[in-house]
Amino acid sequence: MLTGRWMGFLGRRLLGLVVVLAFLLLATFAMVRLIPGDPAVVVLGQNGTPEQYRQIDHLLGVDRPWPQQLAEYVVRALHGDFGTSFATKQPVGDLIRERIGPTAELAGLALAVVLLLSVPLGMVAAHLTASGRRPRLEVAWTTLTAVLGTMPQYLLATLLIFLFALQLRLLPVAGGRGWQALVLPVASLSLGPTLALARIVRLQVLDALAQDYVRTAESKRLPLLTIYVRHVLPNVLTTALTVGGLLFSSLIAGTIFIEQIFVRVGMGSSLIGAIQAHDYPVIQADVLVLGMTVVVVNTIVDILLGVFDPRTLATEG
Amino acid sequence: MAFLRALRTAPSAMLAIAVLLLLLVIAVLAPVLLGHTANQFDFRAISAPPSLAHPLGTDRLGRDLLARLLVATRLSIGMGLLAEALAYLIGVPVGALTALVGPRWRPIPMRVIDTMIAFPGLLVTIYLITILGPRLGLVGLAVGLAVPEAFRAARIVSTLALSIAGRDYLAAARVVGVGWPRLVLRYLIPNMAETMVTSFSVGVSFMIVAFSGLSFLGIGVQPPNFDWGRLLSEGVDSFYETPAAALGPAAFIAVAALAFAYAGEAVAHAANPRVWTAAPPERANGRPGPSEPPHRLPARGGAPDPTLLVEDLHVRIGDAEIVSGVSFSIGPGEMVGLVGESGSGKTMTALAIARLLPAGAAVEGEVSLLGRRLAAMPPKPLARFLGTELAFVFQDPMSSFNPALTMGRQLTEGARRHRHLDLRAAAEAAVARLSEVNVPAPRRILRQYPHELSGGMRQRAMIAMGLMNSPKLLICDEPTTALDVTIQAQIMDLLARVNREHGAAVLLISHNLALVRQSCSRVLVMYAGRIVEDLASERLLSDALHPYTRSLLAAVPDLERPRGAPLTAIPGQPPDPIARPPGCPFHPRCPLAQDRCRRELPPLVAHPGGQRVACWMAEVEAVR
Amino acid sequence: MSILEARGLTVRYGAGARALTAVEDVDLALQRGRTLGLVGESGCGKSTVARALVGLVPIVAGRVTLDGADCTSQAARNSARYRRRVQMVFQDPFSSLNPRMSVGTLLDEALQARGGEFRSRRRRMAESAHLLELVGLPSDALSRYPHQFSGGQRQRIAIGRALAVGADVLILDEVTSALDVSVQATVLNLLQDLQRHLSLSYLFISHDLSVVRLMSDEVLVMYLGRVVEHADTEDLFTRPCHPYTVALLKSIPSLRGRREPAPLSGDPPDPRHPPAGCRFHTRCPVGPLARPERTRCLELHPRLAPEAGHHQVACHFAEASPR
Repeated sequence: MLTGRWMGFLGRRLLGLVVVLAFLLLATFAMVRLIPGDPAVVVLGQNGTPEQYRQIDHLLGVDRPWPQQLAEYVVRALHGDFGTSFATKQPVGDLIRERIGPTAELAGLALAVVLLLSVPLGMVAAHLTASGRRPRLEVAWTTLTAVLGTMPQYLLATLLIFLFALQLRLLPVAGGRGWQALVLPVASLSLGPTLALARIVRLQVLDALAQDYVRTAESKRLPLLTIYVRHVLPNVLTTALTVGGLLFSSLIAGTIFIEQIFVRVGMGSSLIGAIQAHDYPVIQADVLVLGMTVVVVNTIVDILLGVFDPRTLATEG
Repeated sequence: MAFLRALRTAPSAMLAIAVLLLLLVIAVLAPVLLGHTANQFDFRAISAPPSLAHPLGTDRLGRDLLARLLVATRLSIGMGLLAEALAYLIGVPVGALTALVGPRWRPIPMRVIDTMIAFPGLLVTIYLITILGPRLGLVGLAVGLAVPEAFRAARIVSTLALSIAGRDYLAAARVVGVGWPRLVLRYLIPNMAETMVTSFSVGVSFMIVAFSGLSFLGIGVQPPNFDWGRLLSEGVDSFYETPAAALGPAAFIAVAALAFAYAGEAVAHAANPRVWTAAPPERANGRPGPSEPPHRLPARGGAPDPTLLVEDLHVRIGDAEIVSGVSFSIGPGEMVGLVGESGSGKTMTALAIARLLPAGAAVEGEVSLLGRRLAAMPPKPLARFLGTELAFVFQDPMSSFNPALTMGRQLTEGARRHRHLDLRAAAEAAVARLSEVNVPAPRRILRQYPHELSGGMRQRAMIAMGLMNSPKLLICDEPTTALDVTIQAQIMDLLARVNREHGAAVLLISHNLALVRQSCSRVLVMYAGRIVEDLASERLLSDALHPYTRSLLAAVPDLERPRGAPLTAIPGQPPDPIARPPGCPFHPRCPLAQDRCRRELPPLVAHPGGQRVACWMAEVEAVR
Repeated sequence: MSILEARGLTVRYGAGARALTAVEDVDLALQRGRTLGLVGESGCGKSTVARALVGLVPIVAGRVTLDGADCTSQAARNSARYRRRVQMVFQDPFSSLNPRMSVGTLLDEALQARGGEFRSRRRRMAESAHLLELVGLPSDALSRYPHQFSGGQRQRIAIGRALAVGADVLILDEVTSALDVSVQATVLNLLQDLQRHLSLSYLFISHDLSVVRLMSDEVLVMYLGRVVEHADTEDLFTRPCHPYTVALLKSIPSLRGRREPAPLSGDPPDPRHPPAGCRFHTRCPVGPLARPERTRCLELHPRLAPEAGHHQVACHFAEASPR
């Protein structure tokens, strides 16, 4: 096949991944060092004993030359050891292992919902409003997707909680068990991005329908469904995947809000708590792990794009 | 002023701007007028529901919520504006530099920008806030929000600048000698401004939301300061007691975000000169132009059993009648050319015959293929019939093939669908057709994608694709316009061979009179949606009667005409399809126009010379 | 005495292995009041020649002189002095005018570049009105925007702008290729009138041989970056020598006479990897494909050699073939 180009493409993507991960490690490491003033004082206040300050300094690693500390940091990070939390005195690694599950579950479900719903939704909307049919539907659609699609998750969550938990009393506000506890959080997280992506998909489909190659397919008198699925969809998927991939990073950011508002255990709530408590090891580790997750997912999406779209391989520099 | 007039045309835009102005007024005045009220405790009315005294209720300390929301406007909107302004301050120079750096080095900053955009902005903000700490306060927060946004701004600026820099009008201005300051000020910036203004105000909308989000999480504004985000977070805590405490802040955030998002777009749109001068097309009594007189004249140009018979075809799009009463026929194996300039309706005619018009086009008249009336056939048999007996070859072979599918897939799908061939048989047929059209290594081509073939190769493949089901009629719309003249000659050879060997009739649409004359046995000349002449191509130069045809012949720089002879230009322009004058459509530009031409539409009638012509002056020998 | 001359003009895009030599070793000379036609198909480099002559792309090798003065450096061709003499009209009327500037502002800007008496605003306004008349546009065009004009009218505005700068050498790059036949005639007639009245010199670039024949006094034929034939127009069309020119002429459909079979088969080679020796040998009807003993074409690139008088051909086996 095009193995030569493929290897090059794959190689470049993986190299990019390694570079970004390295930069992440460096940046999170540098975070503590960049804090103005004495971090130990920030943590302990003014009334600590010299012994306590020295202890904090040692824990943070600021008492050793930074190249050595960087090396230690990287090696430990790669083994999953992120130091000890100031607040709970527990190993941060354990904290992350506990909390990454619920966050991944939330973000993963939301991503699945977004991808699975937005493409068919957008295609159907395009089909119904193509060529200026149903102008009122088009206006309603455009308004709805514009308003709800750009609403931040915390606002949507507020609205959904109001409607479904308080007014209709269908679902729990916070806490709760089983799948019911997941419905509102996942919905709040995914509703906005689903509509935003569906809006883009509809525009892409309309754009594709206006292309010459669709006219060619029509001239061969292929059935409508075939035209949509075989001719339009592959051209739309590229954009959907690109945008969808970017959406994942906003979903991760969104979980931070959703975990707060629904009082869920997860990386996001731990991060916020750590910020308020100046628990630097936890902040460092959370930013690193969340950041890495996003970068890895983005790289996977990039590679998938290369698989689906033959032109990406050709145009990639 | 044209700007304000343009603004008035979109009511939703006006609303957005009005809300925006209102918010700005509130931001300035509320802390002054209501600052005291917003901080007044009232322990008798803790977390009270909405009432006359407190329209949105009170919070946990009995403070009036509406007053607090109004006062918080300044901080929320102010931070949004500050953060976005900082983002642009950083991002615009970065984007400009990226655009200025040569193409060799550019991928580096572009990759960095793209990676940063793909990274969650919130994490970057948190990172920066942690470092900048509580020392820098609000400015620190603004910087934390601005940095990720700056990358987005940089990308927009660099992409936009690059796209405009590549435009001809910039190169033209440089050649004229316009200096760089003026190039940036009058060329680059005005053409970027619309997008930039829109993206700035959408960005402010995002920043307001983002800042409120930070405060909501507790890492934004710190007490005693309060903004919408903090009020929302307090409100959510008492959601059960008074939902209004949360819905109020939520509504303010949402409204402000929407107002900024739409207002920017509206302002930018109104500043575009294209919008100022777009006048609605003039109507002549609102009725479409005069059409062919109701009594049908025989349309046949010859054969008793025509392959294609078109009778009184009309195509209307909106108020414009693009095709007005076209009638002609094509006999079996005949190659006929349909010639006209842009706006003559020739492409629409072809699309109407092939039933490929966009929805929204109204078609009238009869089209019969192989004796069967297309309008009378039910959809499924019609699809099968047209899929096997009619093939359409489009003008641009690059855009007419689907870039995401292999050539093999596209060549075989018609045959597999309509003739129920299996994959192998269809592939064999495709290989045979490709060989027939002189495409080398046909088996390899099947596996390739359209962008891997040259222009000439693609057009051959398009013709091969058309031949897959052995159609009786091939409609070719400007098949060689996008090709070099030596390749054009090859394609015309191919069409002639197809016409001969397959016995397929061909309808060739073109603006090139000489091309049509050489390849077709008969020529149909179209003007303003009508056929004005229909004659044998070998008689074109010697016996054409219609003044338009003759003018066109005189305007073509043919190789045989003497070099000194000037080209005859036709003064004026073709009529607007919405408002055609009564009478003959060519009369305003015709050297022979008489009174009758101005009043009555000449029908397309058979002339004793042997052609059909639509002209009152055709009988008069003085035409020559 | 030539006004604008180029010797050995070579233009290269990119560097190293991916370099594309778009134009190689091209000689041309424009005479006062006359038109030199430059003809060729896509990829032959004619547009690059145009862009090089107006300083939009750098010249890698060769010399350009204006009235005898050397103007090979980028700076020289971008100087005000050069630009006041040499201007270009672009192919696409829809993208060569700034959509945000009115016609009046456009002309005014070009006149400002001219300096001298045109520093006075009143003088410029008078001249703008005069220019509009010269190119056949109504005076109210000054306040209108490009999108309100048709393709042919926009080309006339572009010509007006070139004249506003004061140029007497116009590089016309496919100026009528995007226009209908009847509109093309208007623009071509205008160009001929202007040439007669103002003694303008034109480099007329087109892929359309029939138009070049009408407009030019001399013609250069290009293929894959090189000049393959150079002759007076009458001579070129009655006695073409280079096999490519012959093929080109045979490919053009005519209003009279039957169609001849396509003289060339195959596609032009990739300009990035031109064939060794004579670049045309892969498709040449009288070259090694048809006559295997002509191996010279594979090894050595033919130089332009004089045939008779002004007529020059770059071919090892050229024969004058009367049409």
